[in-house]
Amino acid sequence: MQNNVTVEKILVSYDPEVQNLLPVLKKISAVFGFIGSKDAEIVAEYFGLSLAKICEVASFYDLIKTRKPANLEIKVCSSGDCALGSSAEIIQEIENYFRIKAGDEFNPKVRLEKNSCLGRCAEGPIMIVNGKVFEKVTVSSVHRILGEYV
Amino acid sequence: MNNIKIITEHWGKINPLKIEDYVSVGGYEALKEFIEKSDSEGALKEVKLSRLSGRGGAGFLTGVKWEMVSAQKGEKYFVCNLDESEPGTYKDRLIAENNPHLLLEGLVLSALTIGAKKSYIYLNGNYEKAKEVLARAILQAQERKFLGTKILSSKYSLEIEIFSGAGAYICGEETALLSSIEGNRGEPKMRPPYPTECGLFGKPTVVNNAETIASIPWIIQNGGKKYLKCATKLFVLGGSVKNMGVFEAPIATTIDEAITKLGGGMQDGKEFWFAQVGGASGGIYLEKELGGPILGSGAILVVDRTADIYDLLLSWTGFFRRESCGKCVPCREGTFRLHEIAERLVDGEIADRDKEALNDILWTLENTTFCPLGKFAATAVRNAIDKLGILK
Amino acid sequence: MQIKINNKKYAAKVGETIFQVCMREGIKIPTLCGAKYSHEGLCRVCVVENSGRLITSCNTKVCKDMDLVTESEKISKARRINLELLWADHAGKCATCKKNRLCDLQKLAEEYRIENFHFVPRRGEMTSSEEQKLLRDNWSRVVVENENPCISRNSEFCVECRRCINICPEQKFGFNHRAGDVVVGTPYEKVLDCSFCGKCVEACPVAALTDQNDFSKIIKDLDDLKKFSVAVIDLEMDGKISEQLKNISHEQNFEKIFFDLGFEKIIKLEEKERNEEDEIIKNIRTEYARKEKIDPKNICTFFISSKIYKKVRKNEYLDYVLSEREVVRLVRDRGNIVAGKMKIKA
Repeated sequence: MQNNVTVEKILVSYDPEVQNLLPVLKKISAVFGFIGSKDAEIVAEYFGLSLAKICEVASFYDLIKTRKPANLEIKVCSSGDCALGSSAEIIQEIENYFRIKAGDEFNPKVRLEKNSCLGRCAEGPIMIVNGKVFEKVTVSSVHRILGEYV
Repeated sequence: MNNIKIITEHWGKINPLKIEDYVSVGGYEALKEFIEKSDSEGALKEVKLSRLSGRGGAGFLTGVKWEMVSAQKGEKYFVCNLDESEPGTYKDRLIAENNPHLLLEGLVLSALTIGAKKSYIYLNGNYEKAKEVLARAILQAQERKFLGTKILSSKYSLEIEIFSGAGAYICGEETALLSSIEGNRGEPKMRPPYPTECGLFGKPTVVNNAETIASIPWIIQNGGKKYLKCATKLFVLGGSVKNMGVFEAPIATTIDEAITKLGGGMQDGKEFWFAQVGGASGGIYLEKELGGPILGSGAILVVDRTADIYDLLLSWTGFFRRESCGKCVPCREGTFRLHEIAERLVDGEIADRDKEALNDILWTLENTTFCPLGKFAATAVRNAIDKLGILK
Repeated sequence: MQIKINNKKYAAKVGETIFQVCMREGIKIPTLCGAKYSHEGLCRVCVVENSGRLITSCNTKVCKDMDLVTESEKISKARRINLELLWADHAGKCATCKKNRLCDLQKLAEEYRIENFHFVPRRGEMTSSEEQKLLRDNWSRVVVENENPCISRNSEFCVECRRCINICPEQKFGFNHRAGDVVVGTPYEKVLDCSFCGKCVEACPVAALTDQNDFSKIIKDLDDLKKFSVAVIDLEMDGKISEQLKNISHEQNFEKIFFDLGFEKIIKLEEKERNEEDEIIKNIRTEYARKEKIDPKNICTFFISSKIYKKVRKNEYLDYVLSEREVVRLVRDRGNIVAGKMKIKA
């Protein structure tokens, strides 16, 4: 997909109006995995805004990334129901498995983050691996799920 | 408990992807009635009579809010708040997924009543399915002329746009939501001026929760007086109850009734400890305090005795540590510190200076933050200290 | 309209903020983010009480019959806690800081006696390993940049007041990331590349944005007995320097100040020479080499000016550009210099 989609092509389908900024950034981040500084410059020019402004907005939102994502991005919900449903143990299990800490950005291959509620509490605990959502995760099923990615 | 269902009546019975299903159960009749009468003042009167209050949590009277905007001339906006990022709350998502046309009908009625020609649905960025369902519903409604220019061949026009958020809890706060649509960081704005005076793109704007809007068709059809008698609210039950999920019940339902009657009581073998009402920002209620109404977003998390309070504590503080917008000092630094101290508390390393600091932080969060998020961040922790004695 | 502040009645205009009325009437209210730069209500230090409720004075407009209190126990408590939270996020290396005694945060910390630290400093030199664990994720956010020629940036000191963001005419700074991870800086942490007007350095209340210079070299040159240092002082510098200087010293005699610093000659630009400093500086070396019979190599030329972008254009004629802030900093550190050249010469 990355071969034929360019930032310019994405921009063409949006008017350069402020209310389109967030959708554009979200789209670019979804297509390329993140918004690099070169891409951000193109967006800034298109909307007639400063690069600082683009970066400021992009870095605010969870679903827009401003740095290259790790090969394996794991997110575990840690709110309400999921927290009651052993998400803390799941996080610990993953931390031990990869020898990483949730929230750390040192490992370029694997990144583990705690996630806020996705509104799927009845199906919790929720885990997201590279954008794919897994429901009713347990400490034992974590290994099976992650096994598919390693 | 009476059994009138205003919002959930057709859930599961009609196909949300088919507009004809909704029409066959009397859908868009309220809109037709409204267009025939062409009396937005009358509609406003009914909504005021109904005393419908905001279902997002703040509980501001909808009619009063509408009146402020409808009295003003010129361009204005109506925004449906479907950001719903309060942990444990997913009622609005189900409204959009199970009966999107009810929401759209409500939205058209609301927007036309206040005289807006453009409406946004601010949708939680994670709600992919709801986005698809709503987008499809909008197309269908346009085809049938319930939406767009010259609605049902009348003088009314309305354009609805889905604006998908990008993952930020604070965007559920109305001024932050508007900042987000305007292409800014989703930071709350100073109030006053309120959105009703100076909202989206500087124009008068009404921001209403999706559940509030979904109640409008019923009110228009049955009248405000009748609604006042049988107003309902969606409650989201989670945790250690038998039946988890979203339930519609009279607004005056107490926490106790919700747990026993809607939730079917505690799961077998589990003993009630406390309930957290209103998501991560909600307060803690012990067994003796369950007689009161359900405040906030309507989420009830039932916690049993086997639960690890420290997991929950870290979940609350971690949530606000992540979700604070970072704009004002007490919230940015306070939520960070709160989480840090909670981590030490969980590790059993809490020092006396931490306890003192904890009190100071909670105080400054409650009293000096820019927006209500700061106060919310303090509620659960404060309750856990006072009622559950986590510091002892 | 009339409003009541501390039980006294004052006249106020519609649209004015509480802060503006208080400033006009000489009622002191502390602020970090506000004053002349913005009125966003970020630092929450300017809080006052309105009928028992705390509100920020910088962004709240006056209303009829307001009854305000600007100092109370509750207000001091709020200011103290918020300052303490900020202080814990600040590097706090005051003794070696460029802004020592010239720092707004330090002044407020002194005023509100922020001495009893409840918090583990978030940015700063840490020693024990457990504390390092606590700090780790904050350290990754510290951005230090000394690669541009004029402005030294160190987010370790930053208090996220957004003054630089609001004042920058070229919109070079942004408020990046969210919550506790917030960093005020350039997009993608790039090296600052702008026209270096210096407004951000002037606005920064702490040492996050400071003038770039090699101070040890300057002090060495000023102390060197062989060197002949000439300062060309730009227009309007007197006022700017004395404004800053009052924090440091009571001395108002400029000649004395500069000679004490180790300058041999000062040349004040005159109104008719406005913007002709380049011409004047160009001739200094040859002129004084001839007049004072000094090896041109040993003549040091300084331009004392707010035009910090001149630092980019340092050349064979101009050795150093010093802003008013750097002059005051030199005065602050004068001890070393007096002990050097001045003393020996005398």
